[in-house]
This record gives sequence, C-alpha cells and structure tokens, in this order.
Amino acid sequence: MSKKEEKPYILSRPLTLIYKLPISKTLPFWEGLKQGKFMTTKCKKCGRITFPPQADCPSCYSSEVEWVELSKEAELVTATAIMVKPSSFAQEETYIVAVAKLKEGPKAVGWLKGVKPDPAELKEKIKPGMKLKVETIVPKEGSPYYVFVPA
Amino acid sequence: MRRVAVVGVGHSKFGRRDDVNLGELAFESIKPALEDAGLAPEDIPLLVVGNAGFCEEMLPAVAIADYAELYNAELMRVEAACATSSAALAAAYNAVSSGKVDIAMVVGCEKMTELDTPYIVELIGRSGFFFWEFQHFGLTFPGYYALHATAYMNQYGATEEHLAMVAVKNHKYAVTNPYAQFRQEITIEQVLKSPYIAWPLKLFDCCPITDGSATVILAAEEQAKKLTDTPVWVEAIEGCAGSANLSKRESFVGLKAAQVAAERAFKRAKITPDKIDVANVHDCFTIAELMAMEDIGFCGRGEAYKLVEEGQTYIGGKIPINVDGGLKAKGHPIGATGTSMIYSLTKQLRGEYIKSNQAPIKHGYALAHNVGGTGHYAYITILSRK
Ligand SMILES: [Zn+2]
Repeated sequence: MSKKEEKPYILSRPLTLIYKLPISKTLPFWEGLKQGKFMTTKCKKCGRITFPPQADCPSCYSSEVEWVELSKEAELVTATAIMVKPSSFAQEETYIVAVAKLKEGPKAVGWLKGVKPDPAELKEKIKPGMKLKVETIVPKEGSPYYVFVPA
Repeated sequence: MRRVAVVGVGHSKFGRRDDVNLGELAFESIKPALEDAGLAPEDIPLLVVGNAGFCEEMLPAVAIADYAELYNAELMRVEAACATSSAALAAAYNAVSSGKVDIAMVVGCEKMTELDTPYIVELIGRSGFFFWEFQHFGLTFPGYYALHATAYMNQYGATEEHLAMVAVKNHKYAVTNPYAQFRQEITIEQVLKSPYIAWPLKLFDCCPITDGSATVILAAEEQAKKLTDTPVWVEAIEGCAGSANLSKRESFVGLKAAQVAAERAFKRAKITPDKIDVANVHDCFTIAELMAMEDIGFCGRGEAYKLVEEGQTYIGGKIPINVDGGLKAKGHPIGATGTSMIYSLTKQLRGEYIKSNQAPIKHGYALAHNVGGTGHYAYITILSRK
C-alpha cells in the first residue's frame, strides 16, 4: 500500500463543533450515577424495563414511565478492544468496550475495566457469561458514566 | 408497478483521490453512465444523490448537480450510512416503477480522505448511537463489527484465520479490477501479522478509507427496451431498519435488518438464494462477509466460514462473492458503495465484466447486499438479465 505523494490543496477554514446534549428527560440517570446508583426507566403500563433509559416506552408508546434502580449485576455478551481510537479519545489508553446483559433483562454497552486489553489475555478471558458488576464513575471533568468490572 | 431496468452504469477510480473535489469525482462516473445508456444530461428528470456526508460540502447533491449541470432533474440527497446509494437507488426505483418518471439517475459519491484519519474514525464512530455509545465509550466502526466477530467466533469456533481467508480472496480479485484501491494480493500470514485495529479485527480485516463515485441509470420497461439490448432488470430492492443501540440487539452473530431485507427481496423476486449466480456483499470488515452469507441464506448459521475454507466463494465455487474486490480491497467510499455493487453486477449479468473476474451466469440472477452502520440499515437488491 504505497503512499503516493500528496496532490496540491488549500486548507479549509477550521471548524470546532461542541453540541449541548439535552438530558432533561433522563436526568435521574445522570443524577443517580453521581450518588453511585444505576437507574433506568420502567413502563408503568406494560412493565418493560429499557436500557438506556427513555421517557417514552418503545413497546406500548406510553409516556408513563417510572425510574427504578438496577442491581448492577451483569453477564458479558461480547467485547472488543479499541486500539485505533477516534480523535476525541486520542489521550485514552486502549479501552475495552463490552456488551453486557443486565440481571433485570436489558443489555448495556460500556467500558470493561480490570481486564488487560492485550490480545492473548482477551482471547482467554472474553467469554460469554463472564460475571460482571457495574461501577459508577464521577470524573473530575465531564459527565458521570459507568463501567463494567469482573465480579 | 412497472418493470424497471438498469440501462447505464459508470464508475470512477476508487482510492485516495486527492486530485479531485466532490463534483469532479462524481463526473467521472456520471459521464460514462450517460454514454452507456445513450442519454444526454437533459434526458434525466430525476437525480438522486447518495452521499453520507464526510466532506466540506454541506449540500453535496447541489455541488454534484451543478458540476454536471443536471439542471433538468428533480434533485434530492439520500442518506443510509454505508447503504446510502442503495437507499438512493430504492428512491429512484420507486419513482420509475410508479410511473412518476421514465428515467432516473442515481449518483453515489463520497470524499473521505480530505480529513486526516483520526477525524474520519471519529465521524464514523459517531455514526452509531452517539449519545449512549460514543459520548462516553468511544466506539469505532471497526469496534462495532469486532463485537460481532468476538460473538461469532465464540459461538461457532471460527478463527482469525477464517477471517483472513475472506481478505485474501477479495484482494485477489481486486488485482485485475482497474477501479480498485488495493491492487495487490496478500497472504493469510500478512493478515494475521497486521496490527490490531479493534480486537479481534486487524488492519487487513478492515476496508480502507476511500474516495469514489459510481452512477446507475434506471429506466422503465418501454424506455429500457429502446435504449439497450441488454437491460438488467431490478427484480427487487428491499430494505429494513435495525437497532441503533447495540444494547437492544438480540444476537451478535448476524444482522437482523439484513435477514429481513433478504427475506423480503427473495419473496418479491420469487426466487431462492440458490438461484443467485454472483453476489456482492457488504464486507466492510471480514466478519461482515461471513454474517452476510448467512443472513442472505447462502448457507445455514455458523456455516459461512466452512464454505470460505473450502474456497466456495471464489469463481467456480458454489457462490462467487465480491469478485470485484469487495469493500475490502476495491475500497468503501461510503455513499458510492451501493451503486458500485450495482455497477459490478450489471456488468456480470451482461457478461461483459473483466474476463478474469467474470462469474459463470447460469440462472441469470445477481444479488447486492448493502448494510448501513452495523445493520442499522440494510438493503438487498436482486438483478436479473431475464
Ligand atoms: Zn410500555
């Protein structure tokens, strides 16, 4: 894959975009993380628990949902380790992203900590059914989030 | 509904095309497509542009229509991530089959290399579910497919070697495709030794970042028969949506949207998968080709890697797949990939493809499988020469 010489160009005007992401309807989730709680929504009409939380039930379209606290118990479904990172994650060490099935039923996507993102270790350890627990993280800067760790 | 045929196709050179801008690149496929159909710019009453949006032009359809002065056409832009120009083709097909217009042009065009790679990785990563998956967890597109690769290998016992075999085949066929980005053969060892991008996927499991364009002209039956002796009929073009949130997926060993789109397409075309002589499937990553084979129904679940191991996806095998090099080696200019598949399959069904890449046409059917995102969108198109 030989690198050809670059052709003539002019540089565009630079543009930096920072969006304001509305969280009014999922505020208990974000506030919960700050208190170490893992919250989501449950439909009062049909009982569906959604993750991620949403203010309107996607099963029966009712907007009568209540906030419930999840147990933080989960099982691994699948995972990857991100070696080539997006520009806004360039400062991060290689991170593992997992899909986990929560004890309450829905699945969730999040970082998996406590496993070395090394191909040999990943091949050995990343197996469906691995027991995980959810930990809440409140960083010094930026919004709170959650991670999975081996239980 | 009226019958609709492909009457003209054109293709640009794929690759790092830093010698052209969006309009210039689109022109490289628009001109040969018009020549192929024997039409003039003013004969086009509908222009549907497929562009997912990775360059500086905020209104890419306008920039393209302006460069080629296709001012007689009703103009729109369609987006369906990596299935963008299949969705554009569906929109054009609907307009022609309904009788609204007799002729329509679909231009798939994408410029991706004007941004440096980390920014493209960022923009494509954001194209999953930004709020719940990218914002805090930085998923990338190789990462999305890697989650499926891990699940598939764990469930069926396929190995990284099997994934490598897909890349080796697609590179082999790109060597003789003059439009392909990577025109050199690779070995299984080279794939296995290449660095990890998103474990378990390595550099040579991944399609490149590509600039390119491909154009398809459709006509209703009456016009098609006047324009060409070799119309290629659109027997079906069917799509389906899939969950944006990976957390809502039941399974990670296939793509539900592609399965549903395939079922709908075979039902519409009134044929079964064994009647397909040659297929282009969405191999943005090697694992995607295996899942596509099973989602389409070329084999049962967990069987695709065994067919690959037996060489059944080469020309002469049970079902030749991506014998133009595929996204993997031909390149994947997101909004041009769907129309590029139609270009290759139209040439295949006419029997006028590159000699070494021409598949034997027995039943007269070809299939394009084009996925947007990781099955966030899926389109299946079935073409015939009958
Ligand atoms: Zn409900």
